[in-house]
Amino acid sequence: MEHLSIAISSMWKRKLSVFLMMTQLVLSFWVMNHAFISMDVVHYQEKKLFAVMQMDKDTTLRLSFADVDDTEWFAERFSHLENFIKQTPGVQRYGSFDTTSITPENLPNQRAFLEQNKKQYAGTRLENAIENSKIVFLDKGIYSYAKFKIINGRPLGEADFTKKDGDVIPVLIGYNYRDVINLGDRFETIIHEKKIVYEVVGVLEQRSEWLSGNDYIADPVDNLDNFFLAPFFPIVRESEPMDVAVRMHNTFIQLDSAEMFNQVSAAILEKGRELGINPTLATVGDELQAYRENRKQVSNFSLFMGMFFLVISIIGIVSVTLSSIHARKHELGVRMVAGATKRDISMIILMELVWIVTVSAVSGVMLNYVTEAFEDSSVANIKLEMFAFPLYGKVMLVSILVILSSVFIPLLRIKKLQLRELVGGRD
Amino acid sequence: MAFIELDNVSKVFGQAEYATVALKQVTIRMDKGEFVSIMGPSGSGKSTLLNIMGCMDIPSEGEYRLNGTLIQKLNDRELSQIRNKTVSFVFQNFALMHNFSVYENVALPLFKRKMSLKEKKEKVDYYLHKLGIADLSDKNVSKLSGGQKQRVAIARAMTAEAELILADEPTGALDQKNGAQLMELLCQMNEEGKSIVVITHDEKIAGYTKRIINIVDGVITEDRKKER
Ligand SMILES: Nc1ncnc2c1ncn2[C@@H]1O[C@H](COP(=O)(O)OP(=O)(O)OP(=O)(O)O)[C@@H](O)[C@H]1O
Ligand SMILES: [Mg+2]
Repeated sequence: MEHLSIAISSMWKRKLSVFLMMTQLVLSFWVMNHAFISMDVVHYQEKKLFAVMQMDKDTTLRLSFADVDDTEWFAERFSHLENFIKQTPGVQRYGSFDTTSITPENLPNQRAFLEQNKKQYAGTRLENAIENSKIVFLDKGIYSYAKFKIINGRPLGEADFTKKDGDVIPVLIGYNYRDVINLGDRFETIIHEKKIVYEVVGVLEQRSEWLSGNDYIADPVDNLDNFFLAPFFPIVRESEPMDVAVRMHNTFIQLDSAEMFNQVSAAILEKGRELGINPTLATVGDELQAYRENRKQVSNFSLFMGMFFLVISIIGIVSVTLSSIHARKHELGVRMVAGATKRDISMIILMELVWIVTVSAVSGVMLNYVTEAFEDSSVANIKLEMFAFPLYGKVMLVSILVILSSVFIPLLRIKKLQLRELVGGRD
Repeated sequence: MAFIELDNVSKVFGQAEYATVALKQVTIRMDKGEFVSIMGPSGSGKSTLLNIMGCMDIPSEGEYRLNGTLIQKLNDRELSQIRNKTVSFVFQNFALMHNFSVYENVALPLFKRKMSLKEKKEKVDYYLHKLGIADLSDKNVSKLSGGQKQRVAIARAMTAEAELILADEPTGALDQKNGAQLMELLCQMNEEGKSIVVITHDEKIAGYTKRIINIVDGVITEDRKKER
């Protein structure tokens, strides 16, 4: 403890150079931390993906089209292809989802619903659209493999996915609506000038999540607390061109086994070509790999910059520390004459470095938190979630490395100090 | 067994043709409570002798026992322990930590001692008062006069409460009046039981002590006790 208090008072005596040294270190830790976060986000996204849906890297495929086209012609062909896929041997299930907005009307407690949205949307882009709610539409193939838990009412069942035109559509509500919408409540929406009637059948567990409808890999999963969730209803199922098109971004195929990939994909691609709509098929694993590669370039660059800055900082620390030892030779000598060992002196220097590096690391991480928080990115929230132990562990490891590599030369220098040369004689 | 026992101690600096023999087979016995001055021309090895006595340096040859302990056998930590508890130095250049307060300098030997902060403060304050420099406590030592600085150095030596005080030309940078005052202080400490060794060129200073050792070219030429 005494070593630390001596170290701190000694640093205070040369605060400017300590401050400059720390500035350099803070910047280095900032960049380094940013690099760590960019790398972590990728892993985090991957983990989420598999947590939300029972996917498999090798047996889950995504179907997509180079040029999606919302003509009736394309929709018709897409429907043909879908029917073909469902019957292809080796395909275990097939399904898609779409995330969009609806405007529920005539809710029994419409006012409470609006209030809830107003509260929820305050300060966001949705602030002026409180009459809308986000909704995930999906079909049986996807729903049966999602991991939703219902805390009230019932989950969606087999029959819910085969409703006919004019039937009431069952809907699940997000946790935040549990007090403003009751089980059995009905509401309406108008789509293509037709009235659709929904009936609430269940409430989703708090913090239920689902893949982003935009980019299921790169974008964070949606928290469904403020969402509705319903089966695709007949118009969408049966090929209104616009609605068919939205499904084509998020269409997944589950294979029986990885060995079936070549056979199944050859059949589907062949059929697609025959229909003239050129589909592409990729396993989730491949898509993840591409995403990883893409992000790697960005995070590798930050990592390189972070390390570069750190090395520069270490050189700075070593030279400042060496010259401070030189300038303090007399003081250190006096301490040793009065009974301090070389180990004590080394401890004092070590404590200085520990203090400087620790404070800089903490400031660098905090600075990075602030900049990530203000960054306008779809993954901003995820990045903030990364500020937790695994990240701190890495920063600690880097700090220890910085301390070890910068203390080495100064300690050698102290070892060489000769007591009888430090004091005595005339000033 | 004497307090200080140097047996045929030699000290050589450097190697081969650059070697300087600073001490040649010096043998000295000193008991507790002695007040000794060491005199001799410049370069004769006085400081070297004192540094060895104070465990700042070790002999090249011969044996040095302090309080019965063979010093050559000790490691860095044990030597530091002796410098902290058994020996205190007073230097011509005062050897204070510049840019530190009087208080910090005087409290220096208490570093690592197992005492509460309060006890330390009481001890430091006691000696600051004793030397009449309590009002300088928070002052930066660089701003003090030579006489004040040497008082701080003496206060530091007292705070250590060591048995042996080694002073290397302590009056060298002081005027007559301050020099005399300092010697009075050392006499007082000797009367309180401390063993004291003072290096000096000045016969008058040596006159305060009870035993004078003369050294020329690293060899003791005279060692006489005075009857007072
Ligand atoms: N660290 C050292 N390295 C090499 N030679 C040294 C060292 N210290 C002392 N000497 C040499 O040893 C001899 C004795 O030096 P010492 O400092 O003991 O003399 P001194 O009697 O104290 O002189 P002064 O009265 O000038 O202080 C001198 O020749 C000096 O040059
Ligand atoms: Mg000398």
